[in-house]
Amino acid sequence: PNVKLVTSDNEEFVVDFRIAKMSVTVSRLMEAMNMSETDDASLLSNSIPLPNVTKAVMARVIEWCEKHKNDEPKEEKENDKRGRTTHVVSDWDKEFLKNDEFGRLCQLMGAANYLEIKGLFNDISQTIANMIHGKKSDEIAEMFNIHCDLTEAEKKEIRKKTAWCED
Amino acid sequence: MWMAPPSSGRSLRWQTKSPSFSSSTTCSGTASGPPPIHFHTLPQSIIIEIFKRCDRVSISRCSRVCSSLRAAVHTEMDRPTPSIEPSQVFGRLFIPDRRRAIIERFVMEDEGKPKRERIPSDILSTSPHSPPSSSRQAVNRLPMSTVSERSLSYCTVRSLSSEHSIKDFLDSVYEKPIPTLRERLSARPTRFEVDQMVDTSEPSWAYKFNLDIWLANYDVTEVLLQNFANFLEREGGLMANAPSTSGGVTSGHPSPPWSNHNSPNQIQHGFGGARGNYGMGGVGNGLDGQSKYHSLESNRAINKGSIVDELSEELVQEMALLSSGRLERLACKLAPINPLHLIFRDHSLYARRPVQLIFWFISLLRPHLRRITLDGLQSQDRIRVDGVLPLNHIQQLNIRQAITNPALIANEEILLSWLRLPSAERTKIRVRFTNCRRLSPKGICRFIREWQMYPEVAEFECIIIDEDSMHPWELVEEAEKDIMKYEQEYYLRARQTDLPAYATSKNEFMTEEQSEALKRTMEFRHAKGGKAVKYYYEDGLLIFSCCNATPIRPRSPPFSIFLFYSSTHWMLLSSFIHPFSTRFSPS
Repeated sequence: PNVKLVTSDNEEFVVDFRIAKMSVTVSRLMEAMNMSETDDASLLSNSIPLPNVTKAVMARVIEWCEKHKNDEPKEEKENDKRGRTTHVVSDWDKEFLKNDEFGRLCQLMGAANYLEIKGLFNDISQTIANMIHGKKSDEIAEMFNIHCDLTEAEKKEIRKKTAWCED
Repeated sequence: MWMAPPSSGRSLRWQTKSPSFSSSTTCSGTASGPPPIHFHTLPQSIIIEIFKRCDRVSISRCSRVCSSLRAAVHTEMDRPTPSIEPSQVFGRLFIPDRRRAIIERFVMEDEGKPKRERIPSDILSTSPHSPPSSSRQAVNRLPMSTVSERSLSYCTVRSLSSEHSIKDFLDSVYEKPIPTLRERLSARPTRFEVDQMVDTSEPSWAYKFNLDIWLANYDVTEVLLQNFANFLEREGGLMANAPSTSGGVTSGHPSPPWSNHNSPNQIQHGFGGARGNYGMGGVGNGLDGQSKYHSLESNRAINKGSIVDELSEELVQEMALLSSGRLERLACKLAPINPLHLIFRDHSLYARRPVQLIFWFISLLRPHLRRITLDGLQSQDRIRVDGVLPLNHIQQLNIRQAITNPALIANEEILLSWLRLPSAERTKIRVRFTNCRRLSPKGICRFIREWQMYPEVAEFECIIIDEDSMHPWELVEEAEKDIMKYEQEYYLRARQTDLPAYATSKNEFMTEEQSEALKRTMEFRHAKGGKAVKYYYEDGLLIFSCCNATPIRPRSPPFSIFLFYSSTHWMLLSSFIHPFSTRFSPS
């Protein structure tokens, strides 16, 4: 059975029921709309609107879901007392996310968050965390194209804490 | 907390509640789709999810990027049980030898001390628009933690006539004396935190530190390498082709073509011998038939007293062989540190540790290297710093020459090499020379002349030279000679300031003229205008800073200028009044 998903730009994606169920959001909407795997009529007659996802991003999400539809749910590890979460990004996922420019990565992350696809969300979070690792503040700002909008008071506070180490 | 990206409301709305994601999700559809998302515009909850996967140092650095990331961190930290823990500890990695590494925490200025309050006196008034002198302005630009709190930099003094008396006054008010410029430039205090020793029973143990946890918990930007590679001294110079015996890589290195033992068979014999491992930092294998480092042919060219002016390909190969993978291993351990400040400090002469090794090691760490301190390096050979240390992307270079057997040739060529870098690779550098006797006033004037005439304005932060390197009056004298010589080409403004006469640290006899020279400030304007090199003397240091040129005032009649300047300088002034007034006419 297939499910119809409609993006914000009115693009319709027909996806396998199992793939649609990977999204907690879609899954709940289907329940709310009484769409079940055995009821082909309801699946054909209804479509799921996803107003926060664009066509391009949806295509990427579906590509990821296709690859991971048979995966067992992965548990994240809490790393020692500091509570740092670790998530191992598979080689395929690294390759999948490698070509995305950062803006698109954020969009994909927003979509994963909205659709509640935990695996994809974790992959992207870990990828961004890895990108941040070992960078200086100004390099982070440059990488993410962030303009420093700190107030003078905030800058002064930061300088006070770090001036001696920047000397 | 999981949230949908922000979007404006519309008719189609629904809410979902997810037990696994713990919060409600409100979605709203728009015809045009969601607005573009950037990292810092992501909902705070998502940012925190990312930060949960970051180390403490990364979170701390992110919080210094912009207000939204800062707010995300602060909001999370305000919660009773925050899920992230940014690091606020700045550390220095101290590597005294190949067996031991120490993490030291920088001591915050006000750590463990009660906060002092500013003097509520009307004697001092903060006046950023009227600093007492250009020298004070330049001092203020130096990023000193003390400046913002207790500096005299912005103080306008009303009732006290000399700066010394102000200092005495403030000293009596504050608990400790006002730090001088020299004090503020001195090394920052650190406190021992923890150390680690490598397991010397393992093969290839030299520098086999586990720094990952330290680097995740301490914001480390400084690495102090004391008596770097001095283990070569104990190895008796038998290092050239004995990698596996020295805590280095166990695979064989090709023997250099200049070696007497360049046949692979000979290397194999070397590995299989019966020499003990005392002091070798690794498994004990033989070194039969090995040649000493100093008997290598390549070394004959750089024997005692010789000058090394470049890291040739041949030399690089030799250094790699000498390192035997050990220094490469250390470089790999230090590679994640960003930005990196490398400090090399020698306590004595290590005749069997070629100083070239230090510069070769520096070349292994170039990507994140921003600051270099060469403190008391000693060697039998001398090495031209400008030849072996390209200053691409380097923000700070500190050179303190050893009193005996100084290893470095540090002169104006360093500054010139920086000036000639491609503009994309030339950073706003700060250079400090201490006890560099090869620096000459003539050389500094040569640098300033080239800087003035350089096609683009090459901005630098400051150049600080101590009195042991150069006497201020010699510089002033040379500059005056220079002006006479180049008056048609350059513009210089010299004026007396209200700085008091200083005594030199050595209490040397000074003539009146020399004493006058200490008070002098000079300004060398770039040919394109706008920027200038300002010179002044303070606290035993000659300081050159690059800053905005003083606006040209309308031309005054010559007699008023003569009145302004002291009589001892009227000759000088008269020599450049003409070009000044014609070439830089007021708008």
